[in-house]
Amino acid sequence: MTELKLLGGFLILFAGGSAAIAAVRREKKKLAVLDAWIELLSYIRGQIDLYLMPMEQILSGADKALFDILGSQAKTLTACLEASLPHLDNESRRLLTSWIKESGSTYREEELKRCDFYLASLRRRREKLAAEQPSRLKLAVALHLCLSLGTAILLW
Amino acid sequence: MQNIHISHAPLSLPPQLTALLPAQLCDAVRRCGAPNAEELRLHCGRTCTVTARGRNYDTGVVLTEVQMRELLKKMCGGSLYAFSQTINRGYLTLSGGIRVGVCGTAATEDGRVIGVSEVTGLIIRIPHAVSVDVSPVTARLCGIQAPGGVLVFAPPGVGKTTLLRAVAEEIASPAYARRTVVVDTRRELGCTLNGKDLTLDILVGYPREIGIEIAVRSLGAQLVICDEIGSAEDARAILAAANCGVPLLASAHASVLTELLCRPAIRELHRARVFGTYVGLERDTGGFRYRFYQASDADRLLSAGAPL
Repeated sequence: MTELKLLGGFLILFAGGSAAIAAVRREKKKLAVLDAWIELLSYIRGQIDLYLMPMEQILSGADKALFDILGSQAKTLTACLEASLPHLDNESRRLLTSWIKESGSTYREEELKRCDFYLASLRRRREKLAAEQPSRLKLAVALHLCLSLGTAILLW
Repeated sequence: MQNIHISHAPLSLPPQLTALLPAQLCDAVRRCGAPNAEELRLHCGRTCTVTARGRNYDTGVVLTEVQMRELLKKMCGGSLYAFSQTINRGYLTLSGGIRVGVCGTAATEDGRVIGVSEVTGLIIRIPHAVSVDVSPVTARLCGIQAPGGVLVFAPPGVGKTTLLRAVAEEIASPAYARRTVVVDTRRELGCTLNGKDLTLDILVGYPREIGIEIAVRSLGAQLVICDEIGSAEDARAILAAANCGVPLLASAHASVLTELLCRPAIRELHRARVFGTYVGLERDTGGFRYRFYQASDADRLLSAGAPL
């Protein structure tokens, strides 16, 4: 009986540990996705500034690794946003949705100003998320481990 | 003078256009009964019309301001900034060399158009597959019959660009294998020139004077082709190219030779003997015909006191 209880307790702790690892990965993925968007936006800005390339051509020439991080094989901004929505916080979602909606509807100077504005906003958001990340990671790990430990004790 | 009849086959709306235009407009264009449509004239708040053989056919479709804005954005592939320079100059070129004239309200700065808002008109020129016998033009360019370059002239919409494309394709083919450089400033001249065996380079989007200079200095051109010349800058670049011994095939807007010679830049080029032959292109009931004039014909016109 004691062996079974030990096994059950170990399994609950293992599940708690796994959930904590998954939560840590999710948190890190959020930052990686935001970094990929910032990199993509910088690349798009540069291509518009230097070559005035249409968006389709810009995206077809962009780094494939960025699309892998964003989770979309289709090289369109809308598809990338849809695929990366689960990893974005509300503020980043709002910023990216507005940028994608506005992009391509105006002339070069205005387009560059918009890119600069959204880049600055996303970078600020990224800094805030990066500053919050260690405490969020600690919280996620502590919460999952405590929950699993508590459950194991209660069920003993 | 030589008259050559050119036949052309009618085509329906190109697929790249049907993908862009509202479905109701495509249906209306098909229903309006215009044979061999040449132009679609879309106006905001007014009926869209189809032009065929000089006649306008009513489609009964009226586009709103929002529809026109959306259509322009779609034509730019969702990237208006990429076409802003040409839109400011009144046109944009779609894939397949379809030229769209853009009409709207200009925002200016120091007399320069910096933006076009409230687009009220889009004039779409529908390209046609044209079967052209260009051997007399290529023969002149290759110096078999006469030295010097060739200048094709006609009013807008007659087929100058089509003729230039056909000549480029023939002269760059293995039969002639001339190193040909096309200076495609408006992105409509080189769009169909994609034969594997063509000895051809295409400078897309380059201003004419810069393109001609690159063609001569860097690309080792034996023939330079460019569309719609006429400015003083064009004349300077062409003179520089001609002085390097590179013949030029170009086109210009004019109905008759005297009208062509009225333009100071063309007159300057003529005096420098840049062009050995002038080709007048005309619209005929069944297609086009073109007339050849030697430089001496132009001299006679000038010495006879043609109104310049």
